[in-house]
Amino acid sequence: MMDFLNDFCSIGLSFKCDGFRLLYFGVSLLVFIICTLYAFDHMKGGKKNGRFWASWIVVFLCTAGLLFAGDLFTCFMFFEIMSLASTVWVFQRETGDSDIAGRVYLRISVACGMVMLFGIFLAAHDLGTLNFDELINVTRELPAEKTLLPAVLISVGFGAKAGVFLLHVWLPKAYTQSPAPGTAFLSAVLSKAGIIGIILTSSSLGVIGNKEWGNILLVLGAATMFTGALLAVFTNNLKRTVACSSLSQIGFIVVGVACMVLEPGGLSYTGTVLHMLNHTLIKTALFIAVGGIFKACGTLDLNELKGYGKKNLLLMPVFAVSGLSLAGVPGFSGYISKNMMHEALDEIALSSGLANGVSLIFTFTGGMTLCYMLKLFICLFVENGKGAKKNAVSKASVITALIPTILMAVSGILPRAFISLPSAAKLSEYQAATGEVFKDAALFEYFGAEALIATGISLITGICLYYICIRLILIGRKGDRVFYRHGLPDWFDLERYVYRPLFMYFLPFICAFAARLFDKLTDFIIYFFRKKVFKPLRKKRAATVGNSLSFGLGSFLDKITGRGKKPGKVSFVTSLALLNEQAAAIARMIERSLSLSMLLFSTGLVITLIYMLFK
Amino acid sequence: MNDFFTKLITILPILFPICAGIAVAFYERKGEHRHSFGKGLLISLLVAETCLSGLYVFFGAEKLVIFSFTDLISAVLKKDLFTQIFIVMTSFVFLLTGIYATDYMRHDDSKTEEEQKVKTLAGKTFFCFYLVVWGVLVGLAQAGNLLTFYMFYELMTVTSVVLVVHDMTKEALFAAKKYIYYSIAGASFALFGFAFIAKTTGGNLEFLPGGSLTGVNGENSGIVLISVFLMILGFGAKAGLFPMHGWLPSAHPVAPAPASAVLSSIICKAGALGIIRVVFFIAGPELLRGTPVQWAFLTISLLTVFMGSMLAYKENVLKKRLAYSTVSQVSYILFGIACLNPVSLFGAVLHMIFHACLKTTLFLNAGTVIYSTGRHRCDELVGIGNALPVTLSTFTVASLGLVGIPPVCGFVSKWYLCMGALDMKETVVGYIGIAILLISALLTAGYLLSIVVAGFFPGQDVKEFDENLERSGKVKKGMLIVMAVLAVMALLLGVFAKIFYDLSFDMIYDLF
Repeated sequence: MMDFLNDFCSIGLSFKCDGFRLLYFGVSLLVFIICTLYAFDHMKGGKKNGRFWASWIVVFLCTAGLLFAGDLFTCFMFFEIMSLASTVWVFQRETGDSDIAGRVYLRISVACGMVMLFGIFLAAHDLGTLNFDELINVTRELPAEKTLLPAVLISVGFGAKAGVFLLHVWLPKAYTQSPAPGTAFLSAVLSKAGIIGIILTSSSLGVIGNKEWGNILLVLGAATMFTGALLAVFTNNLKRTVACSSLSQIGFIVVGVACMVLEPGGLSYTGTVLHMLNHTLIKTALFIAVGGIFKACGTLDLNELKGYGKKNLLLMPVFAVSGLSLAGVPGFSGYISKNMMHEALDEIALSSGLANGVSLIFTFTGGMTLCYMLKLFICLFVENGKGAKKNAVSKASVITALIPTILMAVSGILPRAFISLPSAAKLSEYQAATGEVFKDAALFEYFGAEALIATGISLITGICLYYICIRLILIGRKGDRVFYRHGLPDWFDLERYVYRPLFMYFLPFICAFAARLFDKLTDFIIYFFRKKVFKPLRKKRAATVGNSLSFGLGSFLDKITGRGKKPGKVSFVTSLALLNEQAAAIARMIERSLSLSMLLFSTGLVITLIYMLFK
Repeated sequence: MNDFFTKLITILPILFPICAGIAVAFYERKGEHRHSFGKGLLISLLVAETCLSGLYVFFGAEKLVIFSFTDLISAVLKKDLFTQIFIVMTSFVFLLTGIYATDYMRHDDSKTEEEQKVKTLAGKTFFCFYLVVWGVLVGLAQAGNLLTFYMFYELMTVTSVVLVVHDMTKEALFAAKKYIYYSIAGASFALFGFAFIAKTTGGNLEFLPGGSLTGVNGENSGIVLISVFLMILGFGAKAGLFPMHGWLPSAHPVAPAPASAVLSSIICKAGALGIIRVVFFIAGPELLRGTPVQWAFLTISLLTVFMGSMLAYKENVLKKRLAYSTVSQVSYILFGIACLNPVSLFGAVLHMIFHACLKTTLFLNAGTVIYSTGRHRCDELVGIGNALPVTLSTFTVASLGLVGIPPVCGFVSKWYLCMGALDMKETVVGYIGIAILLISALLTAGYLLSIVVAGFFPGQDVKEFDENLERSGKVKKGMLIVMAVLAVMALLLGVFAKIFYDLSFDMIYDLF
């Protein structure tokens, strides 16, 4: 068995286990079970479910493999299979939109997978190993400049799955299009797999503490969280709001990872891991609830769903707890994780202007989070509208959505236990790379004045933003009718208006043009020679029958035999002329054909050869 | 007696299929069971030849001189690592493709007796030359010096034309002509180099590990290098190397699917084998390292990699797309050879084997699609997954392999190719090489996975595929089994690739 693993693909698989991996596997398993239970209900009555279930199991197994991977190759293999298998979910519904979403997802997965592979090649060759533990030992002596390139390249692959800015374009589309259990699992577990990948790579390739890498992550994280929140605020589609919220929260987590790189220690680590756990639970609950609503009503348009929650009051805790937690209201789990990350960020901001700016965006985006969650809550539970008449949401959906909600609420009530979770479950690579014992994150004063003030600012910003962005901008009025517009103009689509034209049309066109030139080069040369150089000789018009030789020879023979005068016998002049004509025709045929040139060429070669051999 | 036995099993794998092929051409049987009888006979011939090849690989003579006029002009058979690999690969592909062909080449839809007669004759010709080509390829692999190699090489060209021209349509005739011209032009390049090398160095051009040239000095090294380059270009014509790859996209689409499979997975590799023989067994890697010949060879191989996959991406006819894909993939092998280090050569050898397996699968899949639906173009394949689920599944596995998703086999060879590329002293070249290989892999995903996606997820507004497939031929079980076996092999070869490493890496290392 060990031999099999060591020889697998001649590179070898290896697995390891530590507290963090166990913790995250437990969470994934929980989410998997909840989503599976819900999927039985959600997929009922659908067509071609076989492929969904097959990919469902494959993705989960690969997630487990990825989490317990002990080296980069194992990580890469499970990651790729997971990406490809999860594509099935996005395509599953087979509508026009899901086709586009699936293709975008597939393209970005494969392309970023190739970039990642490049990084792995470099790491494997330059560092001589892919095993995480060995890598840490190898890179400890090396300067970070040597490992920065592979680290960046590998992180591109993981970042694409997480949905980091510039590679995020697939995320809103794919999350909106795949069936709800799939979206829940994608958002709750697969995106975290990407984040874990980035943390593992940074730790094992020795770029923890590297300023450049930290700053790149910081900027990308800030951009991701702001873009996600912006998209989430200005949309009138329920699922898209939640999907973009996912994007935004990933941004928060990436900022947390940047803090882990810039300011290694217990605070940033605990904050980031807590936020990951939080987000996993929140998004499981929200996407299942949204899926239930879609299954019952057949629409995701907020205008159609106004007041839907009034008849389905059990959905209220789901949206309320997740909204409050996401927004970071004191008393909920999100408050703790967000403030821990913020505190770590502020420590960095003491010496870095960039971190100062990011810290501001952090607060502001926190406000935007409250804004879009308020939008959903008010639309579903406060306003009156058509939604009240729609079918009730299924029991399975409510129950499965309530499980993570309860867990979330409990973790908010018991902050001590919640905080001690990450310090109990340490990621061994990160610990080894930072080389220090985590200072006790429990010392963090989560009801300290600073944290409360920051939260207060963020919440006030959120309420103001709700009034300005939603009430004034997003909501349109036509006579009595009040409706949610689609807030962002159509051209606000990086994928459709920049990536697709550039990578699908422009670049292939140029490259294909160049390739075709090379392709046709030889054929063209042959064609040219056939038309210009080996062209048929111009026919000479013969004045008499045959040419002079045949005429002379013919008349000579005629005179000797006396044929020309005898009737009934063909004269030699005519027959020789005929022969000559035939010979000329054959000669012309040979002359015109390329084979003659080949023949002559080969003959020449053979003669050369024989000459040289026997000289 | 023992000596005689060894000689016998050395010669027999070459002679047996040639004789069997000729016998097939004259085979005639009437009556009810003639189809199943013929099929059984063919399969037993195929299995017999496979067994003979196996016998040779294990017990064949290390060296056998057939005749010898001078040191230079002699026919020598030798057995080394590449011979064994090539023969095993050939038997594997020929056996499976042959079994597939017994179903594929059988046409039940002819209306008149006359038509039936013509088709039977065509089928017989196909199998006759199929077997003959197999024998010639075994001979090619066994060739122990350049002259023997050249002889079998030309024989291979001449006999394999018949497979291309099988349909006897205008396009087929044109493609066959093109194939012949390109191959003969390539061979004459090779002959040119052959003559010059023989003259300048006075060596006997026997294949010796590490190179057999002895008389190279400062004066004549220029002409030797030029000759080697000409030989690379010449044998490259078969392997689809850039200036003379033009025959591939013409010949593949018109040939019947089993013939395309064999052309692409084995006959193209014969060109690569020729280059390996020239570079590592005649010239020797030390002679070429760092010379303009190496740079030129690297450049054109990378150019071909990119060009082939780009054009495949833009191509709409399925088999032509696969042909361009072959152009690009075989140049992966040539790139591995051009890097001139053991790791990349090992990668090249692995890619030779793995690509043979994957491309055979893809061409047989394409054949099945054409056989059962009569559709040739990629945009007609929307929703094909509903009609031919097994076919498209095996297609998916092979595509993933070609893209390089572990654990399907294409990944492993790419791994060693890239590791070898990074081993070069000039790291920049390695970086560029890897970048181009990865871009090409991305394009591979673009041209293969797009078919898979459209086939499995056609969308609701696309009309469902007709349940009764358009042409009479329902896919036969034999064809499905062959494709499934190939797909499983593709997986297993990847997972157990370490075996190849254990078996061959030391010997490859010794070439340097």
